[in-house]
Amino acid sequence: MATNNDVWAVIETDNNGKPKKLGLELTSLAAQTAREYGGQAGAIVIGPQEAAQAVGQYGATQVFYCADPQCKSDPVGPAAAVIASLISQHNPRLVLLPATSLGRDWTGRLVGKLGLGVEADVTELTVDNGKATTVTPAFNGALRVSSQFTNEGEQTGLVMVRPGTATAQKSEGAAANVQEVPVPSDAKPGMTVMESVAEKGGVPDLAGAQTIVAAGRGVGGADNLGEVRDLADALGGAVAATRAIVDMGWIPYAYQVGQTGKTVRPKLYIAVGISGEIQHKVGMQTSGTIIAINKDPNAPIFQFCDLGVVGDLHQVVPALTEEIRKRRGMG
Amino acid sequence: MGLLRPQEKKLLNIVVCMKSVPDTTAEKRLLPDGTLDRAAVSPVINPWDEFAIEEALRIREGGDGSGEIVLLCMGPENSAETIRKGLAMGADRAVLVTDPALHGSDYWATGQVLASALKGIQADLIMFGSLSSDGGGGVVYNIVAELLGLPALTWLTEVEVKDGKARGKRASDIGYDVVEAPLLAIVSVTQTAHEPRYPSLPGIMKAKKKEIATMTTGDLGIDASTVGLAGARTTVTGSERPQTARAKQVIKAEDPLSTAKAIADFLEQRKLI
Ligand SMILES: Cc1cc2nc3c(=O)[nH]c(=O)nc-3n(C[C@H](O)[C@H](O)[C@H](O)COP(=O)(O)OP(=O)(O)OC[C@H]3O[C@@H](n4cnc5c(N)ncnc54)[C@H](O)[C@@H]3O)c2cc1C
Ligand SMILES: Nc1ncnc2c1ncn2[C@@H]1O[C@H](COP(=O)(O)O)[C@@H](O)[C@H]1O
Repeated sequence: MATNNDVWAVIETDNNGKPKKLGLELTSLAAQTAREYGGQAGAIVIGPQEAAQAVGQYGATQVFYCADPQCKSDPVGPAAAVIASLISQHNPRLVLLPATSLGRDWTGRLVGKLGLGVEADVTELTVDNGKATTVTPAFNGALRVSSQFTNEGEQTGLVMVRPGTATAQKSEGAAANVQEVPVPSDAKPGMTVMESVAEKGGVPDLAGAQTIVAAGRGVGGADNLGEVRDLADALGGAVAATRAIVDMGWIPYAYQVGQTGKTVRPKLYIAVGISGEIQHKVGMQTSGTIIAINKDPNAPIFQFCDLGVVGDLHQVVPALTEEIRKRRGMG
Repeated sequence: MGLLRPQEKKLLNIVVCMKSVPDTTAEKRLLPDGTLDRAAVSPVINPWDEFAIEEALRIREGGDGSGEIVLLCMGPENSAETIRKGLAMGADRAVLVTDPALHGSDYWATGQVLASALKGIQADLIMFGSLSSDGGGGVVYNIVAELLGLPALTWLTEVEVKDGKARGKRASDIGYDVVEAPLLAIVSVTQTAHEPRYPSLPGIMKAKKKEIATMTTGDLGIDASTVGLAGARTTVTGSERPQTARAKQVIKAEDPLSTAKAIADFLEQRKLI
């Protein structure tokens, strides 16, 4: 079944029913890509009508949404069935999905149902001569690999896109056509959510963060993490961690950056008391600017930073926090 | 469907799908066909899958200690090396699907192969890592789940099996969700609180005698032209080493205040504050 020239975005909503920022980025990217093909941008919102209307302002002409509570009690099965059925009915050329855990779950289900091809962890998407080329930082960023769909135009291609690949931009165009869709009756169960628990200190959004201050074993103890948190607050950024301090129980796993943790790409990454072992490096090496504060001049992190500060973090970090507060007028 | 469930419910049989991946610390390069030169780097168990093996062993140890743990791997022949390590950790036997026709398989093909192989193994629980470290997309377990019509608990930081159900914690935007599915189920784990064990010496000795059954696409009844590079829905068109020209400017912190000023100046120059 040949595809049309439309490009769609699939959008997750948050606990308050608002579209996630990555979803808005995907919508703008879909609009931009669809223009190259001479097609229309569409969006599928798993969430309420208000979220669908909000998404409609970012360049999509057609927005489908599914507000069925089944998509909450089982985040994977019903939503995947909704997306699969829309793809089968409309045959868009490309569908952009968030490269998040839930986005990956949906993508897997779609491949199982429809036998589609996937470009994973994409950080660039361009169209040349009517064909999409994606760029993925492969092997944890050791290589930049470009690829294409072998059967583009004949079969819908799924593109899992990382945060920060495109900027969410409101468009001036006419209001989008918003349409509710039901969960198809052939939806298969994924998982059942028995309980949702809120963590006291909240959960960091590392994938979307523009600034990250990461702490390593050199911080010296869980009690000293306040120094790092203060610096992150002064910069309006998020706190992250190495596996060493997760293993020691200083901070939860949700904060871990690296091979068996999160992959991040902020504009600014400040590594505090981090040696820079390869398993940490692979999770953050594509960051914009990297600053390292470490007392050991031979620490590997100094081999891949933009600014290295050799010194005691307990001296440097509080002074830096003060200085930043001053310059940002935070008194 | 061929997935066999044991009648005796106490017996819990677990399959762990593990991928053999190039060591993170090794230099990687692509072959002219755009696939990874796997022969040039020593393989290890995908670190995420080591956690799946560890959790499988713990589930068995937490029960009555019975039931079989089978490793399932699709990969080149040298995957046997890493499979041995999983056997030395305590798994009982392994199935390795290896076939030159599988070289360059995409996610769909990997899912087909694993799903077909799983139909021939008795299981109550099928475990996966949540991501493969060599360019994985975290999609294979849901492909398998869909093909076999099974529920899947994914991205679990904790997992347990009780009363015929699998249950675990999955990270959410505000904390975590407790998720559940009846057995037979698929589970994928992230790093958990349980550091994967090192094989003991007796474990290593025993592993030498454990069975690694190899299978081909033919054995699984899979048409070789639908998998591998020939059947792939995506194709690599180029690769390059990223430009990592970092400034690597290093300063020594003499007194905290002037160091702080120097860092802040640097941030201002780069418009980061
Ligand atoms: C399979 C596998 C997966 C892994 N996955 C991850 C992962 O996802 N993420 C990850 O981070 N790691 C991971 N690791 C672990 C990784 O190899 C390193 O052990 C870890 O990153 C080290 O953490 P660290 O830098 O905090 O600690 P260390 O290596 O102990 O470094 C501490 C640094 O702090 C400096 N320091 C000490 N005191 C001070 C001071 N007062 N002022 C300034 N500097 C100071 C020291 O000079 C040192 O360089 C993994 C390992 C394996 C085997
Ligand atoms: N070739 C393979 N053989 C066995 N298991 C695999 C293979 N590829 C992927 N897996 C499993 O699927 C998980 C997710 O892989 P991926 O979707 O490639 O990120 C891995 O952690 C493994 O458990």
